[in-house]
Amino acid sequence: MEYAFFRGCLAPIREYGYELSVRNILRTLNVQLVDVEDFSCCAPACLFYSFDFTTGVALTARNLCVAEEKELDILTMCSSCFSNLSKTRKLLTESPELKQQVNEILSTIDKEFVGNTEVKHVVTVLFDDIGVNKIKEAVTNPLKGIRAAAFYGCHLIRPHDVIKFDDSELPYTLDKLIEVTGAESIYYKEKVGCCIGCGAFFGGVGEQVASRLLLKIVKSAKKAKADCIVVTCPFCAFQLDLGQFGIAENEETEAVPILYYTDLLGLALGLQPDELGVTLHRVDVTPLLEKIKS
Amino acid sequence: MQTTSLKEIITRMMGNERLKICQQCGKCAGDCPIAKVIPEQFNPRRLIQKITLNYSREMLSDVEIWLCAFCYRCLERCPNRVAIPEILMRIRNLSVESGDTPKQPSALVKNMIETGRVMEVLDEVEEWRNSIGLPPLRQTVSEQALNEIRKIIETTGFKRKLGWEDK
Repeated sequence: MEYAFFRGCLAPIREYGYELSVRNILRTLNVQLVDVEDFSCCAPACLFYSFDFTTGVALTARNLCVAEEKELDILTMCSSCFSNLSKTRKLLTESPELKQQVNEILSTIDKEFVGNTEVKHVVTVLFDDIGVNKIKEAVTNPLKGIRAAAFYGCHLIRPHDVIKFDDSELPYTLDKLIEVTGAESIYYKEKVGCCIGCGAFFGGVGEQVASRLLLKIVKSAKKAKADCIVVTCPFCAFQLDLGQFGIAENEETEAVPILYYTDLLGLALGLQPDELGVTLHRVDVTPLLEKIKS
Repeated sequence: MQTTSLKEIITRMMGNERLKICQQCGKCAGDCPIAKVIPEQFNPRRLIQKITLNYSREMLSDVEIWLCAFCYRCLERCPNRVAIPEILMRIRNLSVESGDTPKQPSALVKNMIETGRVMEVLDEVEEWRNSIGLPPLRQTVSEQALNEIRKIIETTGFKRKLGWEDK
């Protein structure tokens, strides 16, 4: 299995531990990642489409064309990149008029969108392309006794008619993937909540909204006695991890460690924390790592 | 004077994804993470109502249309699959075109046009990445990619539309 690695903007710069984690678990599972220097930022909705739809589609389509030229499917590690690239691909595939309009723009840079490359997320690759059974075979260090709170975020599962992965109302894939590691995927109210991370980062949603949502998510996980919240998107991680420092002073609540799913899986695959960048998370993960070791 | 209603413009812009009839059931607002926190400032049901009742021109200068974060929960819950985030995206485009928009693009947009990335890659970042064994990131995407991005921006007239260059 080989994919064009679409790292996005936030992950390699502010959440580079996640990049390490993704690279190392995929290497362990014999998946090849091809680094592509021609990929740019995915041109997300809040930044480009909102100001000029056509510019947004063309910039996103350029990235799709780069993967097509390499004859590789795209693997993203950011849910927002995943959703944006998938949506643009669907729009162009379904509307001949838009495709023609965008291909006219792309012809000025000798590119043409054809539509023969798929867009995947590291979680969809793990669930669909590798499969839970294969992952189960590779687990050498089951994380018994760990209570993990799956946080799906928005763009891994929505819009459903675009993503066609999991169920947007009652998602289950991340729960299944957590259980394969030997950890327990617990129920809590905010499992399908929104962290507003990308909205706050790119768009006009203020900090006040973001911290209120953050508090709801953390409190809900805390109430369910979660050892950690498990995320699949650098925006969710950034928001929930760093954000807890902002509210810690006002709220007498102990911070909940934030792990990427790839961190959790990596530990179950027997990788060391420093091979996964786990200690780069802002909320202290030491007690969690101790609990896993014991 | 504008003779075409916003509703008509949006319906035309969205092509097949026409602005369907909204029942005003309010499921969108009930499940909107933003509306839950700041209901007075943002309410997707009310926004659709404004469009269908043609309160349109005022909307273009209203900051409310810029508060959606594209989580798509409203779309999933809507019994008629009204594509509220897509509609808001089109209204934002109209707002930018009208020259009356309260919203300026963030500095991230300029970064993307100049470097292909929305954030600057500081030297420290390269050092930190190197210290955990990651390959270098470089300050910009490839020269070819940068040229292509600039060409696209030029062809679509993006800077002109934003008022960064003369119309």
